[in-house]
Amino acid sequence: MAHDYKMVQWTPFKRTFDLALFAILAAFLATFIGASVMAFAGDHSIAPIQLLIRAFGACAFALLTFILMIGPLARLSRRFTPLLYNRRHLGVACFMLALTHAGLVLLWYHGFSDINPLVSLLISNPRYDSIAGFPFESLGLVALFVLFLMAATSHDFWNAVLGPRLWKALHMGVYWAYALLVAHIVLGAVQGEKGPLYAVLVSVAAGMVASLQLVAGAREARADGTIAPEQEGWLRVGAPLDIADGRARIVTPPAGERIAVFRDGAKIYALSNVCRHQGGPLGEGRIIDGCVTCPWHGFQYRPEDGVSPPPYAEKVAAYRTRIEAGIVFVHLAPAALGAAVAPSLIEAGVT
Amino acid sequence: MNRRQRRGHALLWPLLAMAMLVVIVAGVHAKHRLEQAVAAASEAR
Repeated sequence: MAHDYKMVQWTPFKRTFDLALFAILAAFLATFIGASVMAFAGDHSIAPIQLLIRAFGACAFALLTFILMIGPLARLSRRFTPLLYNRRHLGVACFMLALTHAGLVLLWYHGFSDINPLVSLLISNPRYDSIAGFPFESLGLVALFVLFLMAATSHDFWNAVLGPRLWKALHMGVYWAYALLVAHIVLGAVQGEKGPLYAVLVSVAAGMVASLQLVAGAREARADGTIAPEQEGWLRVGAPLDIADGRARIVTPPAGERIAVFRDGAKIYALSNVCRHQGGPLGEGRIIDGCVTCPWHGFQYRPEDGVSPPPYAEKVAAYRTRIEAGIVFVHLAPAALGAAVAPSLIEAGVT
Repeated sequence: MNRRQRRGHALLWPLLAMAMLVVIVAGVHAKHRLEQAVAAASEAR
């Protein structure tokens, strides 16, 4: 929860995470280069810089594939939720790998003429009407630009400046970048390969990402379709003690966002399920130190009014609740943003 | 994510998945035709 601009708010966990990430990427690059040296030995050898181009490109694509799997995996199973916390570190690392790949390509394939290498890259192959000869480098350049925009705005400072809606819309560009990269590889590296390995690997990667996104999307659509019973503006939630202490039950209204109904001891509160930061599911979080805590990035809100504790100022809508005949109900209409809503109290002896 | 984002995903991902599938099939087909053309040219020589 950033209040002032600090480039990185380092914690011991983040340092360990980044060191582990660096080690894994270095191991991938070393393994790829080693395997390529053996594959391209003797008469088929290629220049060391070409090995590096392939290695950095492959590493960037593999990392982006993994990054795009994190979101839907976290939807399908909570054990993957911790991977969301530092996903931005993976994204920035992916951009750095892609930038290195692009830099080496410009140097090796476009750096030895009088023309500016970028201009050379864009004008040297005009065969947009051919599939086998398609100027695939242009596709990679557009994808790199998208990744650059995302890496440059991968900070809560930009989330606050642009607003969550615009920021999220910008970062949804990652899906377009991925599709462009699949085309970049299929119309580029795959065309020059003798065997089917690259085509198979790209197909498997794209297939995994697409399948996970579609399966997670179908699951969310089913949840959206499971509307809680409504009576005169009140949604039925269930028995109060069926909600675990410090946790929530999420209910879907006929329209609008889902509502997270929390139990904190003998008190029942209800907040919007959508975190103000990046839309995380507050109802899948817990109450920690008296605050509802988002499971994605740890943003916190007071359960009584949906306002973040000082010095932070984020707000989510709070909802009225009532307990009648041993059943919790939540009102459809949210209270005014920031307004306090009294909790419902579970009477002693209620089961 | 909020409801609007979920609707966006529901529209976007089937389109992207189909687009990627089309590109992969077209690319593999083009590669196959290229290899056949190269093989035919080598035989002719």
